Amino acid sequence: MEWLAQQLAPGLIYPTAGAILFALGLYGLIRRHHLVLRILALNIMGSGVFMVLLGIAARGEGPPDPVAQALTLTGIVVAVSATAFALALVVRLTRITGQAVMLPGPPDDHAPVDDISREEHAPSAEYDREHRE
Amino acid sequence: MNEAAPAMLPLAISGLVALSLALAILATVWPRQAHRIGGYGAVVVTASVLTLSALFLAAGPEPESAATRVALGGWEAPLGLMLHLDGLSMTLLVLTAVVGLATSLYSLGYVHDPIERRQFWPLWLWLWAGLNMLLLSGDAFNLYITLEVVSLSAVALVAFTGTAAAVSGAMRYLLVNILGSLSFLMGVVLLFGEHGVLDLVLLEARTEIGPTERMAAVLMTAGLMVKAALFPLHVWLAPAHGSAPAPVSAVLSGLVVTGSFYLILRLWMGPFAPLATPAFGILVGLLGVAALVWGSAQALRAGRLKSIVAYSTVAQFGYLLIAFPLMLVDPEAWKVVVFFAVVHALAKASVFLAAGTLQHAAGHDRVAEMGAILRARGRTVFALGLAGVSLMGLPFTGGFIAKYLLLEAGLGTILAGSLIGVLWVVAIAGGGLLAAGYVLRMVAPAFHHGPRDAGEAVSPWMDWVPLGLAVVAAAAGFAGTLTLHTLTLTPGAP
Repeated sequence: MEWLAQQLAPGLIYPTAGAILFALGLYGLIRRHHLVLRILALNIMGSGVFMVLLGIAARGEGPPDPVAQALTLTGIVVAVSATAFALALVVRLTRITGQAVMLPGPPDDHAPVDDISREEHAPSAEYDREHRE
Repeated sequence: MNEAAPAMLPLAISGLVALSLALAILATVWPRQAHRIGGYGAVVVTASVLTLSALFLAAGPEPESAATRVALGGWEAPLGLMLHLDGLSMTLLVLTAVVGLATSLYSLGYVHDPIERRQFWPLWLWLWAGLNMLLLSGDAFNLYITLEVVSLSAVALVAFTGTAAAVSGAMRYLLVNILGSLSFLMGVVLLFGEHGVLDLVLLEARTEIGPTERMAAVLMTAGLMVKAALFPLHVWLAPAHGSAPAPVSAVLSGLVVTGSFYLILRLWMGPFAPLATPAFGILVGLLGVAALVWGSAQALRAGRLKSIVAYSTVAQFGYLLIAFPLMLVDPEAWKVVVFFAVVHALAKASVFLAAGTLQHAAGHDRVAEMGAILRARGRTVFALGLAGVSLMGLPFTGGFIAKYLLLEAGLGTILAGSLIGVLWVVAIAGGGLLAAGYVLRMVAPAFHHGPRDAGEAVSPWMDWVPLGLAVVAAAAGFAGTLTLHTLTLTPGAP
């Protein structure tokens, strides 16, 4: 019983669980193709990192290290903004291609080029067409 | 001047960070004037970086005391964030300023749609501010934040044209970048858990060889390798750099990738230095040879001008990997590597800008159909060729000096009794030959007989800036002594 309590100490169980979350997220990121699932996988990885950080801060006697908590808060802010941006890109990609997956490989050598420096370039033409329909 | 310089330096460092952030924020809240803010701001930032470098060179007499550390808000290292300036970051700050100024002037002509202008300039100024902060930051967690500022604005710029290819390339770039950042952050967390500090100098003093340090080194290096597109983690580069607008490609291939490489170098010269072993060096060097061969082969096959340039970035970064085993034999070689990265960034940025001008004139960038445009646009082709010659490493260009010094370091490895040094020397020399192959593919049609067609009119900025930057890249050889002298002012480095 004492052994179990020792293993369940926050300084050990949280970093271990965090490392497992990190690995699970990496697996999901590689194996899944739907972009929303991939973004979720990245968020799981991020939570793993924060869990390790908070767990490490709670090691030993006394109150947990406040610096680690401040770092986690900052990290969460960064993760939220990155996720919001990624979701916006997914929405845009789905409107253009109809699917929430990435195009395979580099762009085709014969695909048309949209050059924003040219006059005939119409900003967001595809996007507007989608919206009018 | 000499007495005043050390006192002025901390003020100038925090002033530079404040200035570049203020410009980015100003352009964000006042998008109508963003192009003016960006245009004038680029000149002001470049001027202040040059002033800073003059102050730095006037103030730093001994290599061991040359680093200037600024405690923001008076909070010292264990708790506060430190800004850190030494020879290495000074060199790359100047590089960033030169490429940044050229890109800004080019963009004045390139981005002309009023709505797109409002979106482009704030993003570009954020990217530039992020790079300046990345180079000046001396704190592991703050480095993570600056990496994120750089990559989020870079991804937004890649997606700028809004086509399916661009958005898809940006998406891949974003996923890869977040993965790299999280891996880096996990390493930072492990180091923090082990030593309780985040400041790089304090970390360096406390690091010993242990399993935690090894794990952190692997995670942080792998994360940064993904971001720097070092072989075999490079697959995202060509779709992202190839489909971005020309000035963005120039900045991505010239500066953003170099920024990640800077961080790898800084970590391995600082906290992780005791962990490097000869076997590790040889493994990294072999990856470099593979990058050189694979990237060059793709560049020789690609059908589009910008794809060729993007793949050549993968190839040229192979040299930086080959440099790792050389550095283990001759620690002094790191200065050569940085000089090579500087020259490559200048040349690559001007090649991308020239390619953008040609693409604008032709309306596409399919190499096979560009002959008429190439024949009519001598100035741009000259810029492309001049920067290309620097990439190949022909005599009298910056690229020649860089490759000569690299070869010298490689021969030193052989003389030190390491047989594998032969492979490095062959790869360094052969890589120049492959570079000649893909550079000639781009400029050769200009020398054929055939019709001439100047294509669409090009603004003077787009006409002259690539040439100016190419001349700077070629002339960088003359700044070699100054660069190497600045780099010796890096405390802790061999």
